[in-house]
Amino acid sequence: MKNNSTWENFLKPVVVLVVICIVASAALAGTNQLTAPIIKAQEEAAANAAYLEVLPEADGFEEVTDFQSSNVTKALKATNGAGWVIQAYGKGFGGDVPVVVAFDSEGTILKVKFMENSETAGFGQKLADPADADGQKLAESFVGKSGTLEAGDVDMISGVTVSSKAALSAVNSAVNCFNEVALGQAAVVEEEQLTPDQALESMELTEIEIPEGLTGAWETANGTTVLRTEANGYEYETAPLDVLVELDADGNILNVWVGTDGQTAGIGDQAGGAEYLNQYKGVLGEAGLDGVDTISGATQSTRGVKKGVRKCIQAFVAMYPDCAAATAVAPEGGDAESEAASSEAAVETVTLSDEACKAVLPDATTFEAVESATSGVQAAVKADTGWVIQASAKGFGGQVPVIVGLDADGAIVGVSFPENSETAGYGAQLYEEGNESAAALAASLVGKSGEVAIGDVDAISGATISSKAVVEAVNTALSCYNEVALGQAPAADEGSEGTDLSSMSAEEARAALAPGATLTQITAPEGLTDAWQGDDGSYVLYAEDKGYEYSTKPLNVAVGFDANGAITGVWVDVSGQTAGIGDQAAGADYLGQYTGITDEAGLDGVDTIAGATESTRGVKKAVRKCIQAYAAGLAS
Amino acid sequence: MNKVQIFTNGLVKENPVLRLVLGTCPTLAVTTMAFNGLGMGIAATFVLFCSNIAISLLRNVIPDKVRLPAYITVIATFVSIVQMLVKAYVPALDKSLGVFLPLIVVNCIILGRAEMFASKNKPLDSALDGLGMGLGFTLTLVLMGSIREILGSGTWFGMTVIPASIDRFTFMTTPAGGFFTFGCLMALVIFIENKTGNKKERSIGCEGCPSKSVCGAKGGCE
Repeated sequence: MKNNSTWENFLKPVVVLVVICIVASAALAGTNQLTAPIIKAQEEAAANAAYLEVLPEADGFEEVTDFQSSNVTKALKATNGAGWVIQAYGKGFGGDVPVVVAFDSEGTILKVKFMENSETAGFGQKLADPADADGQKLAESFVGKSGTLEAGDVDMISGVTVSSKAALSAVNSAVNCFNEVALGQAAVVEEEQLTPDQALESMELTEIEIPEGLTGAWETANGTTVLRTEANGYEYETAPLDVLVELDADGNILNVWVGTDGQTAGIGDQAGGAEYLNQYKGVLGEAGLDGVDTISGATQSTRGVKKGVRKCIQAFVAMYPDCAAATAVAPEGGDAESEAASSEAAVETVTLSDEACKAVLPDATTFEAVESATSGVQAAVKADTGWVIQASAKGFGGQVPVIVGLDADGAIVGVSFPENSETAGYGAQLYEEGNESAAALAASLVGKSGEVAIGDVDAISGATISSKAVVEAVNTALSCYNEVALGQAPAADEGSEGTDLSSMSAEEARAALAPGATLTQITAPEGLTDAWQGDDGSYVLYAEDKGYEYSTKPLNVAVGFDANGAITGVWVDVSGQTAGIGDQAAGADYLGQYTGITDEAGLDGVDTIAGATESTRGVKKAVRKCIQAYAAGLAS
Repeated sequence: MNKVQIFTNGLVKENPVLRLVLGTCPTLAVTTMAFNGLGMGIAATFVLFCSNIAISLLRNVIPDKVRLPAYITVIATFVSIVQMLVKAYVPALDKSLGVFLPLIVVNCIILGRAEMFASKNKPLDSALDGLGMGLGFTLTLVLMGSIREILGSGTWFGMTVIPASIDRFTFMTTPAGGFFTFGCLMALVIFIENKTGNKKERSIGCEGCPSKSVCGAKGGCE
């Protein structure tokens, strides 16, 4: 028995398993031998199917791998001399736009096929859809052409500019490759965007003292200054962006290089791409940064780059206080907030041309500019048949201007959208010519008067914030009408600038929440983080709640109560919330909803902000805590 | 049980999907089209048949301690073989089944029958049981697949049966539709059971799993 148990317990199981595995492996190997060649042949046939589709005359292909042309994945020569098939790609909106191009032996394009891409459905995806007329038209417009092509040579798809340009660039890359492999011409190689380290290596540098907040500072032999810093991109502190900025003696930006390891591939590393970074060339001072767009879909990374460049500019200005960049208007404060503040402050006046006026008020013939004190109005023009007013409101990335044509009774006759800095493909559609969503929004405004609500119009789906800005601007224009046509008192800008509590420091906000009272700190009731009592019976209570970052960075909220227990205002500390979205939770528009609420039931009327649900819920919860604490102990 | 009974057991009386509630994952996943259901069923039947025979032949050789690793190895080998054959000879099926073909390895039916039947019975009986269970599985898959395909796409095995002018009930081809169909079929089966007095107690979670006795997860799957 003892002997058996060693065999039974240890050896037999092992032996049995090993034998089973050996037999199994043999069976698998045998099957593999049998099927592998068949499987391989099938995969090749599938790949070739696409190539044969564009060049049916070919009976087989041989691949040519020796080429330098950029953006080309494959170059195949037909074995029977029927021509060439080249697969290339262009950088589109959401990634690569791959293209297969068939050339005859001289280089004339025989056929173009767009492969599957990850562009926006209904826009760039049309390219790859064989049933789509626009996509087919574009593909067919390449046939018969040769040489490098321009946008005017082919039928670009209207409204799908970025993807069409990418397709064009892909075909041109294929043409370049053809020229190289078939005609023996020199290859066209795209310049790779340098990383900061590579850029530094290419310059002659002398190190200078590194200012606070930066990671490197040098002077080059040409007299330019090179500054290096880190900025938070998408991964926040774990993988900061490496930003390198070259400035001339005046503070003009000559070059920006970005290291994008750690950003989302294909999205965030566009933040390091030439197209984006070229926008910084020539920027002078912080004010110049307002003109730099973010890349939609890579907002965090491109915002990070902007923050990094801003830090460098600020450091440069600190080093050379007399330079031109220093005197370019520089806003104070933090980054997202300073952008917001500067774009809010910059509701500049414009002059409306007669054509711009006629575009929204077609029957008018005479135009006379008038003055308006309504805030948010950029221009007001009295016409013989009505009024034309240009107003703007804060959108997602800056101000959204709207030109409104009103008839003599104040009803909207026409609406047009000048250029804005909203996100491409979203709010930027407003000023895109021929854009249907923008046209629908404009059409839905016609006939309205008095005050317009977002529910009354055809907002652009997916561009909620920009659409809301349009409605706000239209309402501003309508208030202006009340002022200039009806003689009513001009509407002062409620809430947006003057009473924006969240741009104040904690002390200032506290004072603003209990105006006129002297506040003394008291023991915070349970559940609250801080409490102050005013000598007139008012209170300012502080509570914390989880915003978007959950317990890592809770939202700190202060609620002011007057002597009767009604909320005077709410201040929110949003550091740690997603910039641009969560810090709307601190915006006056949102927080204004709380003013006047006297009990928990009143909170039911407060909306959350779409897209910032967690942050605004967090604010609501914190306010609720304050109301409960007030009702429980402090109400007299 | 005689041979015939063993075979027919798996078709209705102990239908693996509707009565034993085994193998529901692939049932829900591949029954968007009847052809896929048929293909999956045949592949699973083949594996079931072969693995039952193999495990039955080895039932006296495999020590109790290493039962599960041994069964899994055997089953996995057969599944890999099936996968290679399908990839080579019926690539269209390979594309439609996708990841669910290799997932036959963890199909409860196969491991379940290995544990519940093949390890305790002679090879011939096990082979019949495997065939019967596999066939029952296939029939259920084809049934569900047909329902979902006809209602959801208007076709049956690719042939249009509902005129194109009638709007399709595309909900049926979604996962939600799968659950819905499964639920209805199950309800129908229980209704019939009640009428014929054959009600079978169905257990869910660990209670129903064939590997309950050997499983170390102790409720970890739930």
